[in-house]
Amino acid sequence: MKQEDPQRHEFRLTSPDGCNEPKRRQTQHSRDWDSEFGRVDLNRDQLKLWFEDVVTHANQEFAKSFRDTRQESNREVNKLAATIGALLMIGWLFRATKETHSAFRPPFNAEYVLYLFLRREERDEVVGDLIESYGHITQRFGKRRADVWFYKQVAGSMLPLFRRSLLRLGAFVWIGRILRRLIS
Amino acid sequence: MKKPSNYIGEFEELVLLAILSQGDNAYGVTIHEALEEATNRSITIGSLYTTLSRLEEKGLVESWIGEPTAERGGRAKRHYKVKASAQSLLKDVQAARERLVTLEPLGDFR
Repeated sequence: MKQEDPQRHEFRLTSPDGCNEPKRRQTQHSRDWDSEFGRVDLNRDQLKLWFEDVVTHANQEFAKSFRDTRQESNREVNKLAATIGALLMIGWLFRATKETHSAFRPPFNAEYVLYLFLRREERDEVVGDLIESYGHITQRFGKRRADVWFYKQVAGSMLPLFRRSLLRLGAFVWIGRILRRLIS
Repeated sequence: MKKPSNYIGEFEELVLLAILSQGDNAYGVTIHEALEEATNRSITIGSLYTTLSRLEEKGLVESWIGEPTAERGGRAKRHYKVKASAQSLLKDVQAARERLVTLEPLGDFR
């Protein structure tokens, strides 16, 4: 009766390409297909060697696939970064274009105050002059300082414009008084 | 036609001279800049336009609307020109000033 060695183990190698086949086993067994991929008896040392080979190979495969994946993911990351960069650039250009148009737009409230005090026939010219100067100041000193300049202009213009309105109003009052005296 | 006034104030005189200095390119911005540069003081656009409208009412300047430009937000310029009557008035004022300065008590004021 055949005694079975407790240190011997049976393994069935199922890898069709033989990538996990231990080289060391080729010296002990015949090279035919059955012995290569069939039932193989291995002792503990051989099993250890085979296991080390498998682990090494698996590590190599894993490293290779990881490297490939990393290269691929790097490519994807680069593509994503390029896309984000392009989008940011487009956004910046759009914003810059928008700012170029809006930069020469003076503060709305100040402009409205001017509208209240200016005559209808001179509104466009006065506001146009202010916008032109405002644009020059914006280019030279920036929007904030140009805003300050605009508010200063409007505030300084209030008194003469208001005085003119009062004079006109006063003239109407005087004409009214004279007419009332003439009538009575 | 309105008869030109024979009296102009100091600021009105300065505005007339500024318009003359700008030639054909006399409009709000250039007049304003010329005045600020010459007088070395801050002048608001409101005071300039009230003076210009007063000068126009006095019949000393004439104005016309120019072409609208994008730089001004699509708004037109109003160009100004000093009338001949105002130029003679300026000469009179200048001559009066010359005479007053050469009077004896002031001596070397010039």
